[in-house]
Amino acid sequence: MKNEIVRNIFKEYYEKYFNPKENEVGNIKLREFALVPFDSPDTMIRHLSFPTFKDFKQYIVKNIPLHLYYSTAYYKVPEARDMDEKGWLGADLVFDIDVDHIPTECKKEHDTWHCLDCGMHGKGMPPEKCPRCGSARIDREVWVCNKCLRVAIDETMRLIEEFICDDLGIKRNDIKVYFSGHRGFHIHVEDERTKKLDQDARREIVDYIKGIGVKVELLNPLPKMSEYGWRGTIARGIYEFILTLRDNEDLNVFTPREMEHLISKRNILVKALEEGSIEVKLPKSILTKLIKEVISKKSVNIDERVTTDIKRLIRFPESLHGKTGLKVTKVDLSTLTDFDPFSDASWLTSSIKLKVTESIPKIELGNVKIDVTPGDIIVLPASVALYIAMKGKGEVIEVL
Amino acid sequence: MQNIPFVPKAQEYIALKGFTLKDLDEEYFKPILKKAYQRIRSAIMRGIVEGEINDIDVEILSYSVAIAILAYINDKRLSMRFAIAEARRVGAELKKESDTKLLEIAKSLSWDVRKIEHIVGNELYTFAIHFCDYLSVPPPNDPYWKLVNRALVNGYVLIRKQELARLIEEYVRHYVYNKVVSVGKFNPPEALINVVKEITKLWSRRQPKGEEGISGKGGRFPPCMRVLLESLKNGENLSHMERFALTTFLINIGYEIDDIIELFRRVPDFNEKITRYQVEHLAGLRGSKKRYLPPSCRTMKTFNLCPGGDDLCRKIRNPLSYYKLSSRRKMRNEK
Repeated sequence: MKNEIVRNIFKEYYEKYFNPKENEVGNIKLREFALVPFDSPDTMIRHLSFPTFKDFKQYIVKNIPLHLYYSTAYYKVPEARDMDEKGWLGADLVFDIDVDHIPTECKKEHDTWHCLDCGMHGKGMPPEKCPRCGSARIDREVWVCNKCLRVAIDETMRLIEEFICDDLGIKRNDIKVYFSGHRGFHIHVEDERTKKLDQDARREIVDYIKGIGVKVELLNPLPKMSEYGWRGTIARGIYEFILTLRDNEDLNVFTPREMEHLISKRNILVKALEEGSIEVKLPKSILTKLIKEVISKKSVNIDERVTTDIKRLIRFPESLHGKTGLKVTKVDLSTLTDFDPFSDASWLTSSIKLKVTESIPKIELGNVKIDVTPGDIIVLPASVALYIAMKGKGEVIEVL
Repeated sequence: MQNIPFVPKAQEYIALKGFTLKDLDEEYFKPILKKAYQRIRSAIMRGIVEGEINDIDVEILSYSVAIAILAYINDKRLSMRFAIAEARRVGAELKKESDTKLLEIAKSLSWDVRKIEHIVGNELYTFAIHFCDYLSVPPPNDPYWKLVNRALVNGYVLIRKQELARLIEEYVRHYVYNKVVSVGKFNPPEALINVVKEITKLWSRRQPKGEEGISGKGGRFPPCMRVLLESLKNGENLSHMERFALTTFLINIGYEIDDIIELFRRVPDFNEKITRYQVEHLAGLRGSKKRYLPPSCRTMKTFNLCPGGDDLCRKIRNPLSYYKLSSRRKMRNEK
């Protein structure tokens, strides 16, 4: 719960510790800023713009934000209210890996959903529609445990290495990675050439990364492993699959007849994939299933709305996420695999005495195992306690 | 370069000649005006700009004059038809050019294109284009052109010679259309007004009849189908997938075969016999006797055919449901 003590924590942060580099966000003059004030969490102030970084910082200290955003787009007149008047000049290419969109096993342990219409509830990923009444109005409570975070980190690494660097040829220096402050990572590409891409072009990039629209007919006869793009990826994926065919028997993807077909053709398939000197075709049904398997493993689950929206507002580096109290933190690619939000995305070193007000799933946050019931009064590392408080499950009693 | 009056070099050339529209009233410039008329006439009648190139000056200047004429007429459909027709001519010319020439033209558009030699499958790929340039012109709505189906490495898409020609053709289409749209108001010389009159007459005679009789029968069209119908009415050349989506949609909401064929009369390569066969096929009157449904919203998105949905779109998975839902709502409201 956001009481006076929490307010002071936010205030102190923005006064003393909020110190992003002046050029952390390029072309600050051309960006729109927006914020949700700490004291008025139901309003969003938009269309702000600042001539200098100093003006921006002064404004923030006077108007402590609960959430702070800037536009990925560059505008001629960022403060204009009307989009036409704003004059779009370009936008960074941004990707969002949000563990919300990725079905992890542990979600069953810590995530819940309930239908706002009939009250039905359950655990894990929410269904698209309520299985009882068919309503799409479903509310969810999500927690991000260490396991979820590992998945997000792996996806982020693959996105950068395989897609952004290898395929799109973007230089590492032009890529910035930020922990979003909540459930994942934002990957910003600030490259002159990608700035001008329109919405359709960005959708093509999204489809490429998600493996959407792969045409089976274009992959028959089979491509070889050394080919570029998805052709090569699919060839390599099929190759791996063929080599471990017997171990895959538990995989309920293929009918016994299809399995038989694959096993009988194994040697010739391997040869075709390796050398491409012979043309081998597979029945469409088998190839379709193989491709689907490979794509589900090799594609990266990005949030397409973030990438295709060329007028998006996104969290400002080093601002605090109002739902977690964690900092939007720049992460160096070399240390990404070891990232721990509760130590790396917090500036708080103290402890906090917290009263638990609502039930919390048994979950591991940072290196703290949470196992509490409402009414408990506990002392926790400040970042973890603030996280629970911002989620509305506890009340900060005292900073120790 | 004389057959491609769109590249910056050709534009510089016009500037050098110091030609202005006022000159058209002079006898000396008659051939330019005549050629401009022929260009537009050919676009209207045959959907492609044809004709021998005899004189470079006439060729380049007549293009600019044609643009001025179209801007003055200010008919979106006619301008689009002209843009497509000019682009087609350029496309045909480009296919005859050498690799070196093609590369030179692509570079003059500030595209990052390189000459390579790489075999994919059995095909030789001779060019690599930066993906940002590849995506800067809307590619034909064909799965083969989707980035996901292309060889992409280190920022470059591998393409074949005729594909580079096609990309330039698409670029030209956009360029020409935008050129017409961006011409401001001006006072035309008398000679030009006469040509305008002739073209307007010609164009109005080519308008298909009975179009006004067609309207939604009850429901509202979803945004995607509205866009497709509008493009079709503008005489744009719809891709295979776009034609499939719109036709199956129209069939399923109860349009008559003849009405649909009438709509397609505007496309540059219209052939009544073929169109009738295809529409009847999709309606299940031929061949497999299967009546096709429009593609799902997901598929529409994948082919870049979804312009972004509205509120009702959130409730549906197929464009057809949009129409049905909205007609049901309408009926309910009327009660």
